[in-house]
Amino acid sequence: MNAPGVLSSPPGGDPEADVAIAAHHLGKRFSLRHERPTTLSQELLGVFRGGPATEPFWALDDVSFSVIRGRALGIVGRNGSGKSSLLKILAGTLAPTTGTLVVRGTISTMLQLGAGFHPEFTGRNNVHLSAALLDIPEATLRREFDGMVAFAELERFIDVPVKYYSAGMLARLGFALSTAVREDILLIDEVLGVGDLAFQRKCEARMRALLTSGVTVVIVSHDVEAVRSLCDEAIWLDRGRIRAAGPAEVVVDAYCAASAG
Amino acid sequence: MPGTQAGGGGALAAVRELWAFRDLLRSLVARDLSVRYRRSALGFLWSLLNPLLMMLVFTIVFEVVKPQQVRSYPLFVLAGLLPWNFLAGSLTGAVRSVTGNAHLIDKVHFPREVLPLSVVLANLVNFLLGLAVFLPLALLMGARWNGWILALPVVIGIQVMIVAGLSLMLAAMNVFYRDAEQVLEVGLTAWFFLTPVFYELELLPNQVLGIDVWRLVYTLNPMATLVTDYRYVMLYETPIIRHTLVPFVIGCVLLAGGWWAFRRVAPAFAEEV
Repeated sequence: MNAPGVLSSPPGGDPEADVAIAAHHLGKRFSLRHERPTTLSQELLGVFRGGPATEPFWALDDVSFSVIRGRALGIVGRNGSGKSSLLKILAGTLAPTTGTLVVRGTISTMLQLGAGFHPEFTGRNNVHLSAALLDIPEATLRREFDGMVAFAELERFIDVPVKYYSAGMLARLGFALSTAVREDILLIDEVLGVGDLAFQRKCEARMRALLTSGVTVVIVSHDVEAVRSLCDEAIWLDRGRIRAAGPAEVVVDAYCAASAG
Repeated sequence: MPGTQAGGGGALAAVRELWAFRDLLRSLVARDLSVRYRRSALGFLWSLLNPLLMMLVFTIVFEVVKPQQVRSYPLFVLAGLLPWNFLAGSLTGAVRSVTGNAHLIDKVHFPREVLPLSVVLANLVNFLLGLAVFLPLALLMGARWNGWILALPVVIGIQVMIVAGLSLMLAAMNVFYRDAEQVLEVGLTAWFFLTPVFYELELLPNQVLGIDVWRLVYTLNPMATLVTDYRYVMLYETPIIRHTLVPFVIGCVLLAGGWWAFRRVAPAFAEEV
């Protein structure tokens, strides 16, 4: 388990210092409780019956990879393959059961704004709360706010409660917020490919600009075309294990072929 | 945002992390407060109007009923009800504060304490606004103050410690056992009647089977002591009672213990909610 970290290092063999994310043998175990006690009394009954039947379930198993600064990594795989667990571990909300993770730099997560806060709140309120959650300083937000709203094309609606927003509007605002302030690492979970074609183009352009400026991006998506076009590299997760890793196109092709067959 | 895992760390680290997220705390408090009165025509004025109208109701009701020989009963009741509402509102909100924000817990790493603590702070603001209306009104209606009114912030401080400690515990407990909400509901009702909000503690018999009932209540129920303290300093020119040391100690233990316990289990929140 503790073998020296064999990183799937990209061609060129950049020095270790340029690695933004290094994951070594990450594993995440959940306890699947078949009859999941959710109340105290059920739990107590479970004690008398010799404890609930639990079965260890490895959502992630021996996952190692690294991402060079300024590159984009795509993560593909079927539902339940461990993609979201991996992203949560990267975001720091879930602790890995085994392995180590080294993250160099600040992290921004793309929030789905609508889910985030109160639906009665206006877009402006939601942006402020989300910014506080993402630890974006007030001053920075004030400076970036107008540009952000303009990017999301929501000038007319920013003071309307978000419960009247369409899904596309919410996603646009979320994208604008999490990319307006430049953090070192951007984590994206399945929110690309929102909005109309023109907006998608804008998103893609902004993503490329971020990557050029040295931001590291990790994308989890079922949108294989987005992964193919935006990411340099990809990993394909299958039941918690890495089935394939390498250049995005190769991995995505393999994944598509397997899914089709 | 630091890209590190939430570490255990000491108390100092916990405070420093919370301080780093004070903007979030402030935003959440503002959200709580404005959600409360959203879509109401009078909006924020309700915070002030509420105790005023309550006072009016009590005055009318107890002019008719005349239940006890307590001097100016409406003041007496409100002096106990305002702090009680601070406690009950905080705990009821805090118990769901983590489970109700699962989508945030999942996505972003931030000190989870801000969720229950923001509920406590929002209720505190509401409580203070209530006091701001109550105090001048009390003066108008014949309450008398002396230097002991200066002890009011101390009494409030002790109550904040107790409320915050309990809120942290309940919020964390509810993640693992949703029973916490139910237990709280029943517990609050029982606690309410064990606290002399509508009655004077002196109404109870002092000696039952050789047990000093008053002392027992004051020792075991910090809210009884605090409510009495509130009345003494705000209405009766009387020093806070000797037993105030007990809620102070209980407050310290609850806050330190609650915070410690919360931080201990917080890393597991994302898995459970």
